[in-house]
Amino acid sequence: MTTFWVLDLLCLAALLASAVLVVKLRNLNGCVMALSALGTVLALLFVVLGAPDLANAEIIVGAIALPVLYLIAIGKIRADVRDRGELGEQEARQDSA
Amino acid sequence: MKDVYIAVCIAEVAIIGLLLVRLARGPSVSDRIVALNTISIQCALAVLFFAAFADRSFYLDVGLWMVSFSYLGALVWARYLERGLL
Repeated sequence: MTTFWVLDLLCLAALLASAVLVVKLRNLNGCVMALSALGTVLALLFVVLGAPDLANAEIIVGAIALPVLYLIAIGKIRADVRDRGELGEQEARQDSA
Repeated sequence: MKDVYIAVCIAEVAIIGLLLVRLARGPSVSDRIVALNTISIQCALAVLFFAAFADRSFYLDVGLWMVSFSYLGALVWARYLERGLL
């Protein structure tokens, strides 16, 4: 096994670990940050596999645009919940902690 | 010399693993933000060393994009934690 495949498998392991973190973390900020880390590591994997143009697109979409979309959605949902008062602020804080 | 380049690249990816641990169990949001930015910078360094290993200067472009947009990501997180994005 050459060192190139060691690098490839390590990138895959980091990708898998961050993907598990996206699902398993209980903190919403931490989830979105793990998603951003997944996009960055996936861009690195694209470069290692020899597709630098695809890596450029992945940096923009996976590391910046997708987390920004999720942050906007989370902010809007929290503002909505606070307006309607359906879900208590105490419960939302427990969810985020 | 190329063995040194790919060894440094592998070490950067191992550091990314350690930073993912910090991102997972960081007690405060500042720890997570610092871990995320450091992951991005280590990825850019790994891309630079892989470009030196593969002897292709076109790969350097990706590292440039990664560094500049990691700065933009830090800016987005700062604004979100200050008062929300919208």
